[in-house]
Amino acid sequence: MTPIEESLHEALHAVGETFPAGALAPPPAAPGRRLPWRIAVTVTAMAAATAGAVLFGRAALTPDEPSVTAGPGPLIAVGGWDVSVYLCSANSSNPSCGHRAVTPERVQALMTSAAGLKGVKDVHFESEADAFARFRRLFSSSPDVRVGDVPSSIRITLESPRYAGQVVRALASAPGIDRMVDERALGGPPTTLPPSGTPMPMGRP
Amino acid sequence: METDVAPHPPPGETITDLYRGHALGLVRLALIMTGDRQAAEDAVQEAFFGLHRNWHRLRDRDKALTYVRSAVLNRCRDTRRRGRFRLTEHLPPVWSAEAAVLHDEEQRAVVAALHRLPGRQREALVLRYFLDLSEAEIALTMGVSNGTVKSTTSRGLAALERILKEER
Repeated sequence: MTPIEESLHEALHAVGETFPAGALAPPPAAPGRRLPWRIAVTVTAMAAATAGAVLFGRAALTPDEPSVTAGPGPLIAVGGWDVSVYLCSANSSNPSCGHRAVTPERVQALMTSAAGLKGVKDVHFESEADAFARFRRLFSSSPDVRVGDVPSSIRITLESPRYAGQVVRALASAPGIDRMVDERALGGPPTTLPPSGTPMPMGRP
Repeated sequence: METDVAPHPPPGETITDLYRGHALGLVRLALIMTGDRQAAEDAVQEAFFGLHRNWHRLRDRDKALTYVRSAVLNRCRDTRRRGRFRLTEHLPPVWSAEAAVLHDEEQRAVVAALHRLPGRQREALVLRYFLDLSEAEIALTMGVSNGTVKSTTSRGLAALERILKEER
């Protein structure tokens, strides 16, 4: 090996070994069984992407979903809402959720808080069943997904996208929230806006 | 959601064996490619999940490992490209000084330089110098010819050396 090959070999192994052998997750289940936790997280990520429905066109949206609105770019506003507030479920990886689903009372309180914030035009709740149904329509070829794998959420429509930061900050410390996503930031820098003071999980729960 | 898939005997044993033998190396490979431990684990889990789903379509099951390696690389590319869809905090890559995981400055510089290379060069170098794959195995994994692997690896090493020299 040349010196550069040796350096590369050593550096790559040094990085690789920062992932300890004992940290490896068990093998994923075969299709037909319940989703492994890891995949459920991915499903959640895909669910976030459904907010815009941008890759699948308007036909995927049902009549009761927000209508298409004109926006400055092709990646935004197709779903209609600006901020998605994903709520804690038993599958949530966020430690602050404590593997407990948010209660209906808590959802109502969050919706009331959100509706009272400056710049908020509309707030509506998407249940796990609704989220599941929409996910199935949009990702018909995706792995076995069940009700509960896609979290419930509060969808917030703003008078202007510039209120997104304020809204997220105002809700950040409220209990019952797993993640918040600024949907308008699609195509920009990372969009995830975790509740403040909440450490993001790096390993398994 | 599996209704379009013909029934097939569960290949659990073989896939589980494959997972036991190679998943750790693949997670580490994905960690090198993405810099994100969670994304790395997800990439490997999804790749094996995909292997389960596509098992009946694999013409040559001896190539299952190649399939999984390719799938992991594809997912790493997706992760880099679509980082905006991640639902985790945007953390510094594991090799960065901020992550405080890799303590050797020289090694950090090498990995940072590696990530300035074009994707194909980076993949070829990681498959060669981390997984220690042969040219033929790299060619199968990347879906290119042996000659392309040779030239890509060679160009990648030269570029890496040049970047590191410029930074010193």
